[in-house]
Amino acid sequence: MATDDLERRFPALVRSRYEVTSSEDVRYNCIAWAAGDVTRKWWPRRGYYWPKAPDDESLEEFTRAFARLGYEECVGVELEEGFGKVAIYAGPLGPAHMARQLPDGSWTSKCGDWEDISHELRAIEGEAYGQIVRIMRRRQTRGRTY
Amino acid sequence: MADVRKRGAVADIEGTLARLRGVVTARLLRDDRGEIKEVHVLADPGRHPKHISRDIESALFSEFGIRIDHRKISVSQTREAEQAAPAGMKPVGRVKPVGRVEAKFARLADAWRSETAHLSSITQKAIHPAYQRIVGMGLRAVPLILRELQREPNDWFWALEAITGENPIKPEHEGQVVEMANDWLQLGTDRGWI
Repeated sequence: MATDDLERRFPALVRSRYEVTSSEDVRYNCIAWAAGDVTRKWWPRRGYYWPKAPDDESLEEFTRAFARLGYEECVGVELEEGFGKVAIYAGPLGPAHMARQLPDGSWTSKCGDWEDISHELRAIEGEAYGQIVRIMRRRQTRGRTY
Repeated sequence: MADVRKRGAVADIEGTLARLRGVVTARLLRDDRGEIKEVHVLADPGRHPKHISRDIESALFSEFGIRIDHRKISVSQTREAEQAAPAGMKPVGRVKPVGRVEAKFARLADAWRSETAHLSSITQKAIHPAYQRIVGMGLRAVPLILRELQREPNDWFWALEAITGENPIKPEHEGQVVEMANDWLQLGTDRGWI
């Protein structure tokens, strides 16, 4: 994917700091990436991986799934020492994307079938992914995968 | 030489081939080592398949340093193209006429891929109008979708399940697109869809 395509889909990236940090890989998606898994696609739908038997594709379903990974709802998007955070983006159809906070306070996303990027949290809000609707955090534990 | 094991390289090559005169869409099939096994193109009426095949060989070598035997190149043309072929000229390679179904599928699949590649939501991808039109093609689309999965695993599983009412994906393969594709290809083979 060319950066032109990325910036066309997410115009706010043009006016912000972002960086492509991986090559393209169709094996995992943004939810898996937020959870730290690069081996499979996560989605609460039959055929895809989900950490529990999914009830639906609602925000609450995503919240429950990440709660099983040790995350709890929180308010602030700022970096908190000792905690890792994830953000859920949602549009009219429900959750559409997730991002994970990096140790420097920036965020990382897998953009569909495209590459991973590091970015400012709100720079990918818009038509494709909707708006940030929930922030969750969990205490960092050494050696934990997801 | 281009490393065709990289996904972006395949897209580059397909894009280059699709710009050749007469070519509508182009697809590469790779073997287990990631090398080009077959080239399939859908062509417009008006040019003989032999000429298109030569252009493809030349473009692959000049642009990417890839030499390919013309017998690996399959040129498919619409019925209109068959009728337009000059009398007395026989097609070369594995030329097979295709009808509107294949052409329609290729057009819709291209649109779906290009307009949803940035999305992660399976639901958003599945409700895209082009994807829904493919689902609406019914069982005629199944062999074409399975061929797409052979070429490159992608989120065709919703469509396959919607059309066939089946879900052959083993629980241990959930979310692993290569294994999910293989489960569907196995079912397709068992049922004679491919």
